[in-house]
Amino acid sequence: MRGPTAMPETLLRVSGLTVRLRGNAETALVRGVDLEMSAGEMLGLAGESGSGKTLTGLSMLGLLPPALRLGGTSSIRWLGRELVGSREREWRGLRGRDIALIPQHPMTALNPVSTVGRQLAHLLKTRRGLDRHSARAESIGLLRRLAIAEPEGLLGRYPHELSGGTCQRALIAMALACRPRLIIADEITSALDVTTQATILEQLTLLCRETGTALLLITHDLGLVARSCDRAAVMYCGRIVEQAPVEDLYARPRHPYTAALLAAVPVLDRDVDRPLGTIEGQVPDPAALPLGCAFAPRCAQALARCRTDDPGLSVEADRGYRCFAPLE
Amino acid sequence: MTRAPDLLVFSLRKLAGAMPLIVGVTLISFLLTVYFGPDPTHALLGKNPTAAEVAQLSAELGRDRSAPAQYLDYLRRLLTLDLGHSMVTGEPVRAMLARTIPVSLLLLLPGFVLGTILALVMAAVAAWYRGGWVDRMISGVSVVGMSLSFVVILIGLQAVFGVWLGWFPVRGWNVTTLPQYLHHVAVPTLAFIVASLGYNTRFFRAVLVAELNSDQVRNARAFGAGPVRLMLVHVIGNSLLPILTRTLFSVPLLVLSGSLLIESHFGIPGVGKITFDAVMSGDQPVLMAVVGLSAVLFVITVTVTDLLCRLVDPRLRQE
Repeated sequence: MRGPTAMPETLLRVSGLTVRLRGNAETALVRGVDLEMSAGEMLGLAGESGSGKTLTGLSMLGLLPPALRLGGTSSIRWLGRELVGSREREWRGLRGRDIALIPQHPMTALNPVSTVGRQLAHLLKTRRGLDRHSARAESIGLLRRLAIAEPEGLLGRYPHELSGGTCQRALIAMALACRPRLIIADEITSALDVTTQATILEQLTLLCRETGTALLLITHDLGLVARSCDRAAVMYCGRIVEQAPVEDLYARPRHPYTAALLAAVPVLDRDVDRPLGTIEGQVPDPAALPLGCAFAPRCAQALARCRTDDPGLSVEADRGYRCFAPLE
Repeated sequence: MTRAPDLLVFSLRKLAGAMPLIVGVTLISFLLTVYFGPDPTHALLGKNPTAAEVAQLSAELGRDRSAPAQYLDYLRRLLTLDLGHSMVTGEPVRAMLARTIPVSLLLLLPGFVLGTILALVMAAVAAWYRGGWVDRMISGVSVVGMSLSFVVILIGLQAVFGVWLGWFPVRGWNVTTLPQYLHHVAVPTLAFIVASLGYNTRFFRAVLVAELNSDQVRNARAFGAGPVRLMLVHVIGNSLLPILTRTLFSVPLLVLSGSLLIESHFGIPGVGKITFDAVMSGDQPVLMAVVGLSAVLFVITVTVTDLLCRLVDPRLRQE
């Protein structure tokens, strides 16, 4: 049992994670990510499109697209067991059992020719050994906890008959049905409208906390991270540039990129007249990264040194950042 | 949910919609064989018939009536399966078909079923290992099968198995027992399999690869689905529309051109053989029966395909 005072067990330890294009030793899309997740922890992984956050998540499931491969320094340990170099069979024993993925596009992620009920029941039967009858009862219970008004009706429906939000709830139910220890939620709300976003995320985090499931929330929206996570990691150009407990990160961002991202979060209920922050310039091409800090060309604080040397990790209590000129 | 009546209504609607097709095909065949075709009266009566004899036979054949009346008569006979008599042998056409259609089915069915299944299996293997050497090997074999003419395949197999190895007969259909049947059907079946592997494997592979790259398959993998479940449930289960359509649509073609070629080549008394003979001898009743019935067969195939597609894909069941 995971008591509130006991030291939480480390589930996942990622270190030096590098993702490269196959047949191209130069270009790296993820460049040495270090990440740790303990049981029941909620970690937000934020960054712009192309920052490598989704690839980081997929690596943890051994699901990189065929054109990509892990770099030599990469290590992914699940409960102390090294996964890099595992056979497909070992990965399969992990997927949908210890780690579940909630995908980005709810409308296309379900099997179109099978009903929601059958897809849920299959997982409950094979992962949890339930019989048909109790699988149905459990499915209804799961969907009800996700605030589905009429779960019995939903079980007989096909994905094309459902809205994006309902599909996403069905997928969350499928992930929870596996009783995983870690759920990776990859941009799960970007395909939904704003009101649905908020409720779905709330329900997911609530259920994760209830069941003690760890959650890796991959998103481009730091606002979502603030609302639901314990800790946040900010990625830029395939690297984690800052990692801190959520309150610290928001109250006192050290990395200029984090500060810029925070300034770009729209706050709907106040400051309507405040101009939204934007970040000048563009994310560099991963095939032609600048020397030194990848953010330097867009950074207002950049020193001469930022353009020549790669900033190492500065550790400070329970947070870390990669910057020569951190904000106070 | 009233599924069964729904399907019945749907199929009746489909069949009704196919009526113009049946009318069109039968009209063209009527025009070509009867209206513009040779008058069989004189051929049947031999030399120097009397005017009375000609008039009497014309009336018997119904050729003294107007063209529209003759066409309607043809349609009526098709519908009631009153197909007349062969002009060459005098045998009732219905009896000829009853005798030859089972032979053709027995001859074609094993090759069709085995060829389709094997092509699907090879395509699934190639798609799973796409880009690898297994895929390239299978693709290579199917390009060869696709490029070879069916006649070349037939002659090649006859040469190898009939003449060189002497395992199977090269011609004829002397079948009363199961071993005899297997003995005679082996080489045509092989020929069908080779041809089917050629043109079906590449098509099936392309369909399966597209589905393998889909979102729902990636998601199923993320939920830990193994290769067998992934392939059967998620990939093939979602590729059934093109696979079913292509396979079923090849049935009318197979029955006509496939049996025509194979039966005339192997000297097997199937429906293809009597069609071929009827073409050569201008045997109008046989020809018109075959053409009319194949139009009906095509319409039935289309309807069955539509029905099956609705059964396997819930998205088509929406009104």
